[in-house]
Amino acid sequence: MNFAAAQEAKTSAEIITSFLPAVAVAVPLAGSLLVLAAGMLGQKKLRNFVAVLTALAAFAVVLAMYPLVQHGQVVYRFADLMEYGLFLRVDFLGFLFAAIFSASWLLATVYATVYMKSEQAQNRFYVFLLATLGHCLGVVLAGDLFSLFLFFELMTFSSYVLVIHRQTEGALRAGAVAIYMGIAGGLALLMAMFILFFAVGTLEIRPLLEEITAAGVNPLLVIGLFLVGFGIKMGLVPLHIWLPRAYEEAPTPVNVISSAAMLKAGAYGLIRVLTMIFSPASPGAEPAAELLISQVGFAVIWLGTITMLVGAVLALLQDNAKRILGCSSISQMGYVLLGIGVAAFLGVEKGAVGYTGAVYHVLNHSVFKAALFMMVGIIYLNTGEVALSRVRGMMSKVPFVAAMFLVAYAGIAGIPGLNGYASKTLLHHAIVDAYKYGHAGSLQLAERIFMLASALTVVYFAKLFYRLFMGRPRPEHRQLQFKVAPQLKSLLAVYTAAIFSIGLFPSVVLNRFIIPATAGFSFDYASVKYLGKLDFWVSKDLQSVGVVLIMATVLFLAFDHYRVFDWQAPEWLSIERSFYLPLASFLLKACCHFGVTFDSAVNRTYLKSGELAGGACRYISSFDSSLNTAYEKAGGTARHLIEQTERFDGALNEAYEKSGGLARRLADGTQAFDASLNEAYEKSGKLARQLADRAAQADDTLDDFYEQSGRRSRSLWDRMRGRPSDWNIKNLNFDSFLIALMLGLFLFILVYYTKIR
Amino acid sequence: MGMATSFLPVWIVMFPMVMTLVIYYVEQHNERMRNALAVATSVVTFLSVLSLYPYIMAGNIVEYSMFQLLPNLEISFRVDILSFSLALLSSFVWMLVSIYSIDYMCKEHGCNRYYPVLIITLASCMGIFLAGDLFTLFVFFELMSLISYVLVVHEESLEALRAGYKYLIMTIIGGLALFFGIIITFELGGSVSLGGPALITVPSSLAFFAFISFLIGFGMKAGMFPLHVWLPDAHPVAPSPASALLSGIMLKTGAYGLLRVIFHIFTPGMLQDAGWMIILAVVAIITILLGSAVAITQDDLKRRLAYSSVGQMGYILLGMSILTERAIIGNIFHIFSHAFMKSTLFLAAGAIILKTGKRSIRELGGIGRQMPFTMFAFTLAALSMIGIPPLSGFLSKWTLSLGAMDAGLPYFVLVLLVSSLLNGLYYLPIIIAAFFGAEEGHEHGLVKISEAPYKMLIPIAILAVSCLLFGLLPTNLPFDLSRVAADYLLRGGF
Repeated sequence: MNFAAAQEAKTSAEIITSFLPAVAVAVPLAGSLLVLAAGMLGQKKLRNFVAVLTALAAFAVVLAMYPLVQHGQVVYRFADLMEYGLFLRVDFLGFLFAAIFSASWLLATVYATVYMKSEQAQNRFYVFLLATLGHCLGVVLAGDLFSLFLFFELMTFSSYVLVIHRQTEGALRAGAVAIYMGIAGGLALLMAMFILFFAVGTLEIRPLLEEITAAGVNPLLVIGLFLVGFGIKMGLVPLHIWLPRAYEEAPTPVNVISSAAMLKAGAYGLIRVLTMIFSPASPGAEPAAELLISQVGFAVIWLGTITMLVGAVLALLQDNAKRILGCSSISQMGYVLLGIGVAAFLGVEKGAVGYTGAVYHVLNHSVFKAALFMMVGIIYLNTGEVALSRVRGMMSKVPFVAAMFLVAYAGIAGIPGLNGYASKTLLHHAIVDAYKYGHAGSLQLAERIFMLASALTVVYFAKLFYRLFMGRPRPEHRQLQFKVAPQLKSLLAVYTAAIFSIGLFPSVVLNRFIIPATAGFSFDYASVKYLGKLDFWVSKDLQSVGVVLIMATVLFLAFDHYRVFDWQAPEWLSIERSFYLPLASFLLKACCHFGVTFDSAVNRTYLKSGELAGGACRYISSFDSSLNTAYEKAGGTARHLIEQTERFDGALNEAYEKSGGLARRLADGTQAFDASLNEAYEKSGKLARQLADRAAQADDTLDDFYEQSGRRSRSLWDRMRGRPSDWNIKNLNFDSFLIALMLGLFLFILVYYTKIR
Repeated sequence: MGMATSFLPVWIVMFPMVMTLVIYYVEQHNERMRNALAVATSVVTFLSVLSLYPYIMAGNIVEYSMFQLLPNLEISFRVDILSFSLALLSSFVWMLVSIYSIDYMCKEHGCNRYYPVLIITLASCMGIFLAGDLFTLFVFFELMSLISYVLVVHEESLEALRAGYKYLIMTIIGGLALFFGIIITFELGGSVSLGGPALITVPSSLAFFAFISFLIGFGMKAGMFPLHVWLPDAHPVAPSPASALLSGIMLKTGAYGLLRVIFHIFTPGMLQDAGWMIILAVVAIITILLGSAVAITQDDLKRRLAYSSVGQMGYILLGMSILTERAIIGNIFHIFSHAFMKSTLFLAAGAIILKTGKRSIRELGGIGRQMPFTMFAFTLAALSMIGIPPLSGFLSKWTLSLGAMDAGLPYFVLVLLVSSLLNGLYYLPIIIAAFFGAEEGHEHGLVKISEAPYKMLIPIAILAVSCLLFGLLPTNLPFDLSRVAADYLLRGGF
């Protein structure tokens, strides 16, 4: 078959608009509200029942999409919601993930009804458990990156509440690392989305490589940001540091859903980005860009290899059973990453094998890791311990669990006949293909590391099994009656059945569920078809399992002999201690310290400038006061002058008055003379008296005159001493007055500013 | 697009002013009546603004000029879409805050001073938003700034008086700068009207001084670096409802003034060609990072919120400096969303302080279990502040970032994202401690702390739900208004 046929097959896929994806997201969200209501009423049984029922309903709704996704894509669009619009689109891959998620959730919720019985704040737990399901389903059912991002962020927050459920100090610290890294990852995603959206104008999840190339965006930058954003969630080394601790602190049902679903959400995002968005819609059109993506794939292969090795080594060194399983999850996600890397590396022509390996491994990991967590949880329920140094000999106490553990162990180890074998074989094929077709010699080394990591998986699980189940139980556990609720037993049975059925019929699962998930991707139809005919039971693949087992035996004996299992890694080896904590504290210190110093410096500058201005003002005021003194002196002189003048005026007045007095005396004299004259010339008639009267009149007017002249001269002096407002403003115009006012106000402000402290 | 003369803008401004006197008279006799009147005044103001909605959305502009105060300087009003948006927002938040105040202030002293001041500040705020020319804007701007001093120093503690003094001094400096800018504008453009064509279209050194003066005058109010120093002191010491208004609304008057200056005094094109916007951009980036970084180190809850306001105002200034359409939309929308978010946060903080008397974040452990409703609202607003979808803060950040990308400035997006992370660093510990942290106060015999009275909870709830709805809903009023307003500003029409 050729490309044209493949294109035809792709276009023939229908687009079905259906409400189902929205219902799948909405059911758990609505269910969480119902659970809240039931919990508030104090109906514990009802609440648990509603929680399980909701998970079941979500699972049923997802399954109801199965007939639809076989024909094509199921879409539903909430136009314009949040301005951009929410868009849900389910192809087979999305459906597969949604089915895995909702199934795991259903089982985990049932598990929780038993496990959480004696825990605190159960209402909150169930509410957020179901809300997280809704958000996780949203991630895998999203049709564009915007919706995916929305649910991804919501998932980060709702899962946080689950992680810190116990609210111990350790849990809060683990949760803080998780949520801050989650937010940082979310922001990296957002940045990548901005670049992509701006360049291409769409955030739809479909092959966009041509458009991205045409827009001239640097794909390395965008892919790098996506790798960080999704890598944090899936525990990509070196971004894994939140994971082991969060797993240790979270209650077991949360571990189950976290390893079965939330890690996978990160993987899902990377699959969408690397093998869908950055894949060509029509292969061969942009050879340069495809080459670049293939190089990115090469890097991702190595990231996956490193992740699987580091995760395995970390798991080897842990003492806490939950931590071992958490590190094991990191390692297993490395396998998935390797598959995604191969898919990108080999491109659309031959990459299908990596893609299917990755998806298959996601499915398998969800099954066996969930089962393993549940088993460890059962031991915790009975003993209250999960540290290997404090629990042993459980075989005699819970033989049923031990047997199931062996099955899951065999599953994760990749023993033929159990589920891990199929996906690991596919992934092994993928890395061999990458080496064979990719002409990159270093990938042979990657293949060796793949084998080594697989062997280490066997080794650390051997350690876990050995320590947990073998030997005699500790004295304090010997008398304990171990109880395993029937629900838990049946859950384990379900998982065991799944492990066996996938393991015994790998081809059926591959052809029915994994290969259809290539729909919508650009993989070469012929290579996919060829993949479907893959026979898992060939001696070559079985041999490599043998090689892994032999390596594992040798390693186990060697490690046991040299006590590697109990080796306490020095602190500086921890990437968290040696890199992240210093980095975080440096950044925080740099940022806050710098910020605070800067801020207070600004503040101080203000005060300083105020002080300076105050100094200036003091100077000016001293100048002003000296000016004042000068004025006062001048004023004193003037006053002195005026006083002098006044005295002169007074003297003058006196002189006038004296002269007036003289005149009066003269008049008196005249009057007396007149009287005597009168007396003497009484009879001499009127004429003389008239004359005398007239003289007296003349004297009065003279007196008035003198007095008036004195007053006039006094008021002149008064005026000259007078009111300054009369002359101050007259010669200055309005503008300069304003400027003076402003300057004055300004100085006033600055002066008083200094008083603020 | 039509013009109309209407008395309504004058009514919107004058009504609360007159009511201030009525309240002042009534409160001498009857306190319950005073509260009722204050709420009624803010409700009526809100409804009056709302009544303009159909007219404004039809693309019309309402004008009214009153009288000439000085030759060529008149008191005039002009309501376009931007004025309307902000007046609507302010009167809405004011209404909720005055309802909230009734129970919050009942234990406080000096309520007879508080309510008249609250209402006259509303009047002057409306005056700023509805002003038809720079001079009117200036008059109301000064009025608001000076009167809100009384709100700042309400507690009359030494701390409050000091902060108030700082505020007053900075306000006067800002006012003088503004005055200077207006004088230059008048000199160069011959008018200070905001309705006509751009007044200064040719870059000159005098025009540059005007730009800087406006930047100082309005930037001071908006908490722009390096003029933000008064803000972290003044906002926390005010009573919580007043803090909510100071941070939620009154900071925005500065942003509003700058928008008017950029689009009506100058032209955006000229500002960009002359390279003056770079100043604003640089200052905005420093404001964002500085505010967010310093907020992390604050232990006083309200002080942390105040520094957060500094950072968030930086977003608004950044949006202004980018000047692409989406950036302006994001900028105006962020004015809305920040008003809702920060009012929620301050009102919730007020409820906590009222009930527990605790201001220090370290003491807030377990408060979420005692006051779940209040803290839930707080959480909603805080997550919105961090920019978590589908809350409104995300939408404004999203739009702003796209605007920055449009302008070819991906580094601005980086700044926004880094600041989001910092926001997370200072908001999440509060939420985590409140809901999951160890409870304080067990040692002194369990003190049962209950929720605040419903008159306080309802405004908090309305504001918090707005943070969710205005992010989530496909068509919501604030976003539509922002879109139309941006369109109006950039193209001068609808």
